[in-house]
Order: sequence, then structure tokens, then C-alpha cells
Amino acid sequence: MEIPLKRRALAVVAGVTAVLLAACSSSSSSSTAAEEAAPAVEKLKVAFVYIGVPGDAGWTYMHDQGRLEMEAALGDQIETTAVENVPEGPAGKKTFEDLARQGYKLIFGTSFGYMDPMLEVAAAYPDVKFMHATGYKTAPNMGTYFGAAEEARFLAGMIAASVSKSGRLGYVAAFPIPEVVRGINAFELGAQAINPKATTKVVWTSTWYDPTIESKAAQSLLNAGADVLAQHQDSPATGQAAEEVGARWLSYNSNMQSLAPKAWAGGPGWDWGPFYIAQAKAVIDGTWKSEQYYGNMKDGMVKLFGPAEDVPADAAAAVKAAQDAFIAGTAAPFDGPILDQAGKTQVAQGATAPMDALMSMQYFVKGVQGTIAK
Amino acid sequence: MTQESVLILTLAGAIGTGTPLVFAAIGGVISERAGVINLGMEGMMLIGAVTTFLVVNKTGSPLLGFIAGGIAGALLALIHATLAISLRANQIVCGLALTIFGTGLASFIGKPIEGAGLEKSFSKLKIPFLSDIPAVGPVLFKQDGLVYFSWFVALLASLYLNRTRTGLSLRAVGENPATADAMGLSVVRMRYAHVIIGGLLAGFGGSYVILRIVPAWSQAGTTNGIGWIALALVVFASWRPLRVIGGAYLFGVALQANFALQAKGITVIPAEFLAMLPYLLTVVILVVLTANRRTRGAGAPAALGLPFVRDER
Amino acid sequence: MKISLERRGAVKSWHLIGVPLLSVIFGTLVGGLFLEVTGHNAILVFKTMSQTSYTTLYGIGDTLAAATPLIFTALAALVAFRVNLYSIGAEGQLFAGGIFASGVGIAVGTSSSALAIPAVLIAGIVGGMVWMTLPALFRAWFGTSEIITTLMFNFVALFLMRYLIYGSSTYWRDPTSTNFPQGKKLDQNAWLPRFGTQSIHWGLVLALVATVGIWFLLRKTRFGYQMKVLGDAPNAARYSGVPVKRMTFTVLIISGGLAGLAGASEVAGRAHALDPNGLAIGLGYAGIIVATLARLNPFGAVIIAIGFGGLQNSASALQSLGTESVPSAIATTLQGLILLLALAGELFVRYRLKVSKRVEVSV
Repeated sequence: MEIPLKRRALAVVAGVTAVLLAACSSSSSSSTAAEEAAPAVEKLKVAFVYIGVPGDAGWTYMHDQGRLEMEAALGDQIETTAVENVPEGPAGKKTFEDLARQGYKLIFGTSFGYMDPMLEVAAAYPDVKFMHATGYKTAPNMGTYFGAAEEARFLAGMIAASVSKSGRLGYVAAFPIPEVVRGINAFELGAQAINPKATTKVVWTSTWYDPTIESKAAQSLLNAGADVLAQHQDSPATGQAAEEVGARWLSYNSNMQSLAPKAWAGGPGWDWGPFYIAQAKAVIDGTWKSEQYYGNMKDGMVKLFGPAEDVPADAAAAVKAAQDAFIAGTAAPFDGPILDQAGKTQVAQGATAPMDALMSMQYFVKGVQGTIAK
Repeated sequence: MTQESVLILTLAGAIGTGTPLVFAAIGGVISERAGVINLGMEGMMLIGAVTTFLVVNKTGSPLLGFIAGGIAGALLALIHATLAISLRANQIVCGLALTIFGTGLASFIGKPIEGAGLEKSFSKLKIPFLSDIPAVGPVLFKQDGLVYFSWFVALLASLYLNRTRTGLSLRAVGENPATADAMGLSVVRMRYAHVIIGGLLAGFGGSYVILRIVPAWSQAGTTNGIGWIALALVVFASWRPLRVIGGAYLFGVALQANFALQAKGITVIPAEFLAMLPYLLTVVILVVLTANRRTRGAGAPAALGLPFVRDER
Repeated sequence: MKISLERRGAVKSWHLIGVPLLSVIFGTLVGGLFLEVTGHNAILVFKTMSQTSYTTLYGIGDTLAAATPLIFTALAALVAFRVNLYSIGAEGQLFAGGIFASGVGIAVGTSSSALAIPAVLIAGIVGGMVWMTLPALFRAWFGTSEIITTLMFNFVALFLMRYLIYGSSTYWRDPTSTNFPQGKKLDQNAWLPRFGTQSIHWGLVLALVATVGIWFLLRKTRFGYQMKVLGDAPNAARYSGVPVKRMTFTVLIISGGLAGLAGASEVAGRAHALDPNGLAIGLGYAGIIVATLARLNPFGAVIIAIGFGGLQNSASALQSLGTESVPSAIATTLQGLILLLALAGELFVRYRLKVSKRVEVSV
């Protein structure tokens, strides 16, 4: 090696300096551009706090789609930002504080575990509006929003039973909490509407989003004989596992058809856009008030993607009929009679499970195989 | 759908789960036999995985992706080698730094492809005749080509370490570098080569995860800490490549067991305790090895973790 | 031309500060280069990072709060590393400290602060020590590599913590939070007081006290002197009557106690409950980096910890840069990068490059 060290070192320093200079000039030009474009009216700054990353094609992805819809609809009236991978529990509090300090006036937290930290920060920043997805605690400047996913999950169960040969369904589920339990029960009830003997086997993963774990859980269900899988998880790993062995799959959150095209039979999902737009408008107009919003298929917050084209026509028609009934309000997923695993009547013939029973559901209906850890 | 029993399917699944561990842990064995411990394995696996993903979706060739993943791991290992061997940095800290750097870099590069699906991959290969053997066939011989390749790698590594001159002299490098140096071996060159091969194999391990276990990139879950399990497995297998295979599948069963038991409706042990098992077993094995005077020297290379400086010993 | 390394006779004092400083500068430069290459605005990124973490009152508060556990874990690492014991178990000992501290905190929280706070802190120390006991015993008496055992115990502690909150309805889990598994809150009496509305809490003061304490131990006591002998010349130590096994055990246990205290401080000062998400973010491993960058000097560790705390803090702010949104992974990447460069730079503290004119035929 005969290249003098000194000259090489000089070249490196020169290179770095050049890049830095370029960086300086580009930053100064972009900042002046921003100043010129500064609007006269103050924009509403809206922030979204995500548990995962928008690229997950799942829960966070749909919220981010809603954010983009909001940007498209309200244009320069608003300015949005999204912070991803924010942990639940006390660890997430800092992010909400940061956003409030940075002047965000409407902050959406999209995971259940943000509830207590959001409540604490909301108390400290009374002029900032907080909206918490899936929670139940409110404050004068903090509301909640969620939707009756059970409606779409019931329909997904119908689809599942109609494409299953064995009537043995599998369900990859995150945490044994009411939201998930409700979904599993609705899925099983829907399946029974097509095939009264259908069963749903449940495996818990203790994570919302971890493709490796979800995939292993899905495989174990397939190994145990399930031929259709559903999921309350955020990644498409369950579908990919089903695709590999020729089983079928009901996705969740977004239309995941392209991620496992042969396995995909349909799936429940969300459309947050209209709600987000309405919320931002309300803040701009000064009409915002704290509420506990519960969307459904009627207002479009809850959606059913599919059924896939190869789902038998009569089953597809039955799904459509049930969906129409939910939208018309003539039927609900938890219409009685509903028995739990032990055979005890939980909802009587002719009755419908009331809202608070749905929100605190801690039993599995008959036909679900699995346990809810106490 | 196949008609195999749950047990056989679970065991077959455990082999898939164990395969990235086979690659990475053999990489660990080779590097540690040369006296260099590699705590950067997790980082190398992640970089390998993200590279494989990008290359496969760019070129459409899973094979190229697999190779590229290995190379990416090897490049990171080159940093490790430079720091730990030439610059005599603390191997532990250096490995940790590489894991942190690799994790950060992989999520940074992987940001645009988060959640995207892999477009093409290997599929399972049935080996004729062998796959028809009851029980053993479906477990061992209905796997993908990379599983068979991992066996080949293990065999090769074992032959190399035990039967070749370079392999045997490697022992001296790991056990007593001063002697090796006196024997005329280039300790530095030997260590570089083996650390880089170790990184290559760790990269392969990461590639396998993306190609065969989860065909989508996710920063949080792609390797999911298996780089650390691989490190444990090196000890568990007492630095022997063929034992790595058995250990990897045992760990594979442990990682798979939680869900298999749940699906069977059995809840004897909480999932978290099952997940602890590989780590606890590793500690037990290591303690037994070191506590017993006869086996004390049989396990870890004596100079593991120590830099070699010729004129100071 | 041949380049070789030669050990420096004496390490000049400016090297001790200059080399880490240069590593940070070089790390920043290389990181900036990397950002530019990947299409980000490096200057804006660094500006935002420094603004969020070091120039506003809140930012400084958050940075100091983030630095607090890092000071403890860095002390834990440096005590052990000084005698060539490479414990990487601060992570697990921190979890164990958190588990013990929250357990005791839930039990005694209703009594007076004067009783509850010391009880919680002591529980944390004990938890960390308990978690280190087996690796320390194995290392001291069997020579079992503490690297592997402490690493393995990290994962065991992590799963134990997950079990306590997610996997079961134990004593640690909040029974009223049926919708999502969370740790049970400690009673307010067991909280470490905060400074005003800031997120800084008394854990920081405690960390500084611990820093002085460790410095005193290392510099002013017989034990510290023996540690130095053991660290510099293990064989000489053995012959000069230093009780090597007992020293090994004790040093590791002290290290465990410090890491456990980090867990207690996080539980009692920040989360007020056992919060798996807040503890499992690599505080233990980061402590090793901090200790190394600080060249195993307790006071240096405080400074480096504050720097790193800010780096971690700023990661989320980078995401809300609007169009310039930068993946938060840049903070992790930078940390790794700076450490790698520091390791490389370390060489030049201990050695000097010697360039001889002799021409070699082959390279």
C-alpha cells in the first residue's frame, strides 16, 4: 500500500466537508421556501400516535390511511404528523407530552394501552383535544372512539364456515381482553349461522404485532386440524402460513387479499377517514365535545372486505343479508340465545347483549375451544 | 391437507424454527473456536434478513437473496474482526455495539418495506423414498432445500474442525494464540477468516427467517432475538457443529411448544416459562461443563474473548 | 512502508477526553453522511435532535430523566468491567429490581413515604443482587463465563416480567385494568418525588450519589485498591493475597445491586408500576456502551449518559419533522456507530501508530 496516508485522509475530510456544505445549503433553502409558503391562517396541528408502523398493513396502516384521507379532505386547513412505535403503558406518556408541547391541538392515540398516560397528559393540557381509540376513560378534553367490529367478525365467521371442509376453524388472538374475546365470539356465532357444528380453536400470542410469533401460532392451529384461520393480529403472517399449506384465511384491518391471494376469503376491517375528518372539522369549528363514539357498519367505520370470489354464492348471499340486517338495525351479532362454553345462558332468547356486557365480555360462547387466562 | 399427526407436524415445524439457529450457531462455533466471541449475531442476522428481502424483491431470485444476506452478515463481521482483532477492542462491547448498530440500520433501511411481502421464496422439497419413511420422513425429509443445506454446512464444519489441518490448528488459535503464533500460524489472519465466516453464516440464518419463516419484513419481529438464542446454542452444543443441529431442533420445539400445547387445549405451563427454557438449559449445561474438572477444558476455547498481541505476552 | 502499533508508555490526559469526543464527532459526521445518502436532511435532523433534547427546559428535563437509569446501569457495568468481569446482565437485573421494587411498593405504599421509599429502593437493590447471585457464584467458584450466564438470565427475567403482567393475574397486575394487562400502581407515598412539573425525579440525585459512592469505593478504599490490582494484573493479585474468588463475587453482586437500583428508580420515579414496556428498552445494554465510552470512569459515565439520554429522547421528535420524517431507528444507528468509532479510537489512546520506512515486498 503505497498511497500516502495523509493524502487519503485529506480526501476523506474534503468529502465529508462537501457533503456537510451541501447539507447546509439544502437546509437553508428549504427553510426559506417554508417561510415563503407560510399561510396567513393558523393551521390545526393534528398528531397521531401509533403502536406500530403504518407499513404493517394492519391496525396502524388503517389509521394512517385515515390520516391521509384527512389530509386530502382538509388540505391546508390542517397539518398532521404521526409518531410510530410508541409503547403502551407509562412508557408512552412522554410522546403525548411532547406532542402537546409542540403545539398539536388534536391528538389521536390509537392503542388501548395509551389510556392512562393520555388521561394524565390531557389533564395537564386542557386546551388540547385528545381522542383515544378503543378505550373507555374520558375527560372534558378527551374522548374515545371505536367501532362494532363484532358485526364484521360475525360475517367473517359466516364466510369461514362456508369455505371450511371440516368445520374446524382456528383463531390467532393477541390478548385475552374483552375486545378480542368479543371478536372471537362473534366469529364463532357467525360460523354457527352457516354450520351449527363449526368450532373455533383459539391460540393466544400476547402480542399485537410480531409476525414470527403469529406465524408459529397459525402453524400450530393448522397442525391441529383447522382448515380456516382468522386473526386478531396486525400482520398478515397468519394468512401466509395458511397459504403455504392450502388452508383459507380471514384477514383483519385492511384488505389483505394480495398478501396471501389463494388463502384469503375475506376479512373484517376499518375505515377511520370519515371519523377523523369530522373530528378535525369539529375542532376547527369549535364544536368539538368529548364523547364516546362507537361506530359500526352503518356509518362505515366498520367494514367487511370480501367475500372472495370463490366463496359459494348462497353463502355470499347469506353474508350480504346479515350485513343488511345489521345496517338496518334489525339484527345484531349478539342476539340471543347465546350459551357460554359451560352451557350457561349468557343472553336469553329474544334478547340482545347490552353495550356494557359487550364491553366487559370475559366468557367464550359454546363452540369456542380455548381458555381466557384469569 | 396432509393427514400427519399433530406431533409429527409440530416436530416438522420445529425443524423450520430451528434452522436459522443452526446456521447462526455454527457461525458462532467457528468464530468462537478462533477465540473471538460474537455478540453481534443478532445484528448480523437482521442485516442479513433485510438484505435478503431487498435482493429477492429486486432480482426475483431467492438464491441470490440468500447469498446476499450471507454477504451482508459477513460485512458486519468484518467490522467486528477489524475492531476486535486489529484494533484490539473489547469483543463484548464491540459485539453489543454491532447488534445495536445492526438493529438500527436494519430498521432504518427496512422502513420503506415494513410489512411488505416477499415476492418469491423457496418451497419444500420432498426427498424421494426417504420422505416416505413413516414419522421420520415427514419430519426430516419434507423440508426446504435450505434445511438440507444447513445439515451440509454442519457436516462440513464438523469435518473441517476435526479432520483438517487448518481446522485442528484453529484450536491452537482459540486455546493458546501465543503457542499458535510460535508454531508459525498467523493468528490474525486465522481469526479474521473465521469471524467473517461466522458472520456469513449468521447472515444466512437471518436470510432463512425471511425466506422461510416470515415472508415479510418487520423491524420488530423479524429475528425476534434469535441471534441471542444462537449464542446460547453455541454453548449448549459445547462448541461442536453436529451437536448444534440437535440443540437447534430442541430449541425449535421449545419455541413451538407454547402454541402447539394451546392448540391441543393443554395449559400446564404458562407460555412465558416455556420460553425461558432454552436460556435456563444453556446456563445449566454451561455450569455443569465448567464445574466438572474433567470437562472444564472441553468446552469454551481458553482464549475466548481475549485479544492477541504478539509482543505483550 | 510498514505500519505497526506500539504501546504508549503513559496515556496522556488529553487523550482521555479527546478520543471519546472525537468519536462522537466522527460518529455524527458518518451518521450525517449516511442520512444525506439516504435522502434526509442531516443538518435539520441534528438540529431537531439538539433542540428537543438539550435546549428547552422540558427537553433537558426529559433528557436527564432518560439519563437516570443509564447512569445506574453504566455504574453497574463499569464496576464489573474494571476487574475484567464482563457482565452483560444489567438488563435482567434491572427487570428483577423493578419486579422486587414494585412488589414491595405495592405492599408498603400506604405507609409513610419515609418508610415506603427506602423500602422500595432497597427492594430494588436486593432484586438486582438476587438476579446476579447465581452467575456470580458460578463465575467465582467454577469459572463459568459470566458473559453467557448473565445474558441468559436477562431473557429469563424478561419472560418473568411478561408473565407477571401479561401471562397471569398475579399480585403485580392491576386487577381493575381488565381491558388491557397493566401493572398495579404503587401508592403515591412510594413514588420518588419529582422536581416541580418536570419529569426529573429524585432518582437522578440518587444516581449522582451512587456515582460519588462508586468513585469513593474505587479510589479511596482498600477494596477499590484490590480491585485495581485484580483488574490490572490478575496473576499478581492472586499471589499478593487478594481473595480473588470473594472479590469476584462481591464485585458482581455490587454490579447487580446498582442495576437493580435502576429498576427501582424507574418503577418508583417514572412508571409508578411494573411497566414491561418501559423497562424492556435496552437500558442495561446501553449502560455498557455508556460505561465504555466513559472509559469506565464514574463521572465520565454521568456525562455520557446525559448525552445518550438526549439521543434516545430525540428519536420520537424526529418522526414529527413533517415532510422530513426520519425513522426513529436513526438514534439506535447513531448510538451503535458512535460506540464502534469510540472502540476504534480507543486504540490510539493505548497505542501509537509507528510508521517505519522499511519496504515490505508483500502486504
